[in-house]
Order: sequence, then structure tokens, then C-alpha cells
Amino acid sequence: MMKNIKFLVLGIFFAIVLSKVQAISWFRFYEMFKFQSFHMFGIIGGAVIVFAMIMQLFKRGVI
Amino acid sequence: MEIILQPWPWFVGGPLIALTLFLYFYFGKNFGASTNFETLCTIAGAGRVSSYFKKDWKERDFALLFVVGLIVGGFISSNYLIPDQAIDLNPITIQELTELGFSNPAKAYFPDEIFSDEIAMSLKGFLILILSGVCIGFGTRYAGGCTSGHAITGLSNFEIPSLLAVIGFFIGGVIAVWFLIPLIF
Repeated sequence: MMKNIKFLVLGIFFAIVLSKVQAISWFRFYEMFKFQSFHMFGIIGGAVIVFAMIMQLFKRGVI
Repeated sequence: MEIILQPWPWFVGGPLIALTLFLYFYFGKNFGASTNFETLCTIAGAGRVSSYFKKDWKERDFALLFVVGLIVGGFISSNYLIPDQAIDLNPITIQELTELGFSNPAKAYFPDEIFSDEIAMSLKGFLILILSGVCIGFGTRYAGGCTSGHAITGLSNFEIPSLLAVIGFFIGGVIAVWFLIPLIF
């Protein structure tokens, strides 16, 4: 249990990020599914692209 | 501090989410939230009803700790880091929602018409929340993951089943917003 406490900290960080960029907002999701804003698409697209890049760098031993 | 209390722009979100995912992976685990539904059923004793739930949940305690962290982080955020929940929503979206009868579009993160205590305790509001929960519980296990596992972990690993799941999630959301919500409200 104690060695996994880092996941608790990571969870706290993640919740703060998601709430501060409004990615938990019901209204933001409604707006996204109505294609009336770039906000959510930018967040999701950005996350996927940056994560894929980090993983490529990791697999090549750069990180 | 002033910068932290302001709403964060969208382009901050992607990289910080990616960082979280990478740390999750770096700590040795695959990111995903909905396995916890299974874990909670196991802890509650569902193994007596179905062998599907006969698992050692302690092997997945890291995922539970992550969710506890999400709750703690949400509490910290809502009490100390988000003094104003106003959202810079598209004016057209606000107008549409107002016409549907929503009283607080863009003034808070969530509509009172679904999430306020008063509505949640009414028959209609209660049914909306319960049925949504059942759909999420069934759907995430049937699809083998939710938005976090498929859209983020799966997509970044270029997995086809995850791509199909994400397309499905999106179609579901579009159907809900364009057809179900006008029907319900």
C-alpha cells in the first residue's frame, strides 16, 4: 500500500489539472458534442499527441 | 497564485494530462479508471455471486488510490483553486441550453437541472442518475475500458479496438446531446 502512495498524489494532481482546464464540465462536453467549440478537442488532441511523443522518446531511450 | 486561480487555457491541459499518463506508466501501470468498478464489486463480495469477481483486489489497489486522489484533488480544487466556476462557453451553446430550460449554463461547471441535490432526489432526476450509472457500469466492462483507458492509453498505443471504442463513445455522446437531451428536458 505505502509504495503505491505515489498514485494517490498523481490522482490529486490529475484532478486539479482536469478541473482547472474545465475538462470535467458537463457544459464543456455538451458544447463539444455540438461541435461549437475547439476547447475540448484541443485538450484531448493535445494530450494524445504529447503523450504519443513522450512514449516514442521513452522507447528510444531519450527520456 | 493569481495565475493558478484563473481558468487554465486549453493548451495547458494536453501536456499536463500527458505528463500524468507518462508518470502513471513510468510507475509501472497502465492508466485506466473503470477497472475500479470491478474492484469495488469484488471488495463488496460480488465473488459469491459470480466467479468473474473472484480476483485479488489488492493487486489493483494502486488504481483505487488514484481514484481516492481524484476525489481529494477535486475537493482541493473546488474549495481553494476555483473561486469562480464561470465558463467561457460558446454564446450559441448558452442560448440553446437556456431554450431547453437549463437555468445556469456557463455559470457553473454542472447544470442544476441534473446535479443539484433537489433534482437528484426527485423521481426524474434520480432515474437519470441511476440509469446513467448502470449504462456506465455495463458499457465500460463490455467495452473493456472507459474514456481514460481507451481514448488515452489505447489510442496512444495505436490500438485498433481502442480507436473503435472511442468512435463509439463519440457517436454515443453526439446521439445523447442532439437527440436524447432535447427529449428528456
